[in-house]
Amino acid sequence: MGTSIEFKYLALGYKKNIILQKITGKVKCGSFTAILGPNGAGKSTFLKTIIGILRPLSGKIIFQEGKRGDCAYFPQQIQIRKSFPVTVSDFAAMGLWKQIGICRKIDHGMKKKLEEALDIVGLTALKAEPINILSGGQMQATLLARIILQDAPLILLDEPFSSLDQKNIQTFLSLLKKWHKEGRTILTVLHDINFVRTYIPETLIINHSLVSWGRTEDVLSKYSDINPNPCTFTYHPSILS
Amino acid sequence: MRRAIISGVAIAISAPPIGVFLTLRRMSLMGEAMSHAILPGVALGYLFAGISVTAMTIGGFLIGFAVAVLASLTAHITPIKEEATFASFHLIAFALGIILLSLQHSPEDLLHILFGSILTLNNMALFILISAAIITICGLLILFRPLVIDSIDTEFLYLVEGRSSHFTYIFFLGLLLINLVSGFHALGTLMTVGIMVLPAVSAQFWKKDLFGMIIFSILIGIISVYSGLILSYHLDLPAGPAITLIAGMICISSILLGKQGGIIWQLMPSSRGGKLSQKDSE
Repeated sequence: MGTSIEFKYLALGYKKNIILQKITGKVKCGSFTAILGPNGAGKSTFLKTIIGILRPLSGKIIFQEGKRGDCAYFPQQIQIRKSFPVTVSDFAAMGLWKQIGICRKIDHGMKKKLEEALDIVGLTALKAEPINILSGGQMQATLLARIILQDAPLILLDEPFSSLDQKNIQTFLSLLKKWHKEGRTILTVLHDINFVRTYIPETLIINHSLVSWGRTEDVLSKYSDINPNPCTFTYHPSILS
Repeated sequence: MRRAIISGVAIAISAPPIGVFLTLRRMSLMGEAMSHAILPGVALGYLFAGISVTAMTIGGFLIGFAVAVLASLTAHITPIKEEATFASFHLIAFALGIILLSLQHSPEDLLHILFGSILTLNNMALFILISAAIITICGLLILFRPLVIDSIDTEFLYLVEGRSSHFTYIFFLGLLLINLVSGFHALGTLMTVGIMVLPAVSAQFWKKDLFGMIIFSILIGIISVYSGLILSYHLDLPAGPAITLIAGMICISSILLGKQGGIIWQLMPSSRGGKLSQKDSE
């Protein structure tokens, strides 16, 4: 059920200011890839270009199976206007958009799915509360519930773990594993190299251009002599040159 | 007087819900800017056709739309932000409007355009006001869901709907303009934003949920229009400013007494209202 995405000589950025370039390669259908790179390397810009919010400055993105609209995206929280008066449940229900669109009602089956999604992320008790009282971690759990409901073949995540507690990280991780098993294509921006090494099969390192892309063990072992302590992810100049 | 009340209620039903979205999206000053931006269009309509309701309405709508598009485009292709482009373009448009109006030496007409004439509306103006209210309410009912999503998470709407998601924002700007150009006949270009924004701000101090805020803002709008008209009739005051002043007094009382974060509730040590203030986040 996944989607595959091919990049051809992709260059991207904002208003002629190139942030990331020379990206060529293919995200295989059903693959599970971590995107690593230092701050400002262009990770978020990369995801935004894939989903079409930003247009590539040059080059092409080709979706081979499925289409761009069938994509679930976990944004950084700064994009969300939390002061807008909607409840946690309403916010998560946005994930049902494909079924309900502009005017269809949320039927009994959908309501059940919504309750289930909120239960998985542990927000049942807060479902009637407005989103402006949520903490950073709770907001992330709400976004996660929305992604569960979107039920998309392609899932793009921008630092999904940044303020989650240990319990929610485990929940999220088991969901990711389940989605991977179901054959969905997953791309996620992460910072914790140890986590990537343990759980994520493929890795893509970028820093203003493509640094390395392939099986996680290959990509990371190439640099293990440079970075003996896997817990502190620092980029040696030789990787980046 | 009956006409005045009917037209006032029509404005009070359609403008405050737009104001609720404007304020929650932090665009209330943009509403203010747009209200000035329609002036050259109104003035052109007036120069060509005199005090013709239709000509002024169409002119105002077209020029308002042009200013909005210009300001948005400029923000898109240059480094300055929308807030600055709107501020610049509305001032240019307003100055141009005043110059155009001054070509016709009729201070009474100028007052009519700037502050409205709710007490002497003709059939056409009444028709336009009622149609605008119907279009606004129907439009909001149809586009309520995408508009809410666009207000919270624009990128999500783009993700699921693609380019057509921009239509939601354009449509909202369209509704804003319809309300401004129809409202100016009754309350004038300068006062229409008052009945849009003041009840919306007041409602946020009483209701937590969006639907409640919208209903409450309409009620406050109707109360303001009715009491404003009565006040202006008995004390012989200009009607537009009287209505706006009543809405303003309700707004100040709400800021002080409103259960959702009103100042008095915040000062009380054991109150819940103060802690759950709207400004908590972001």
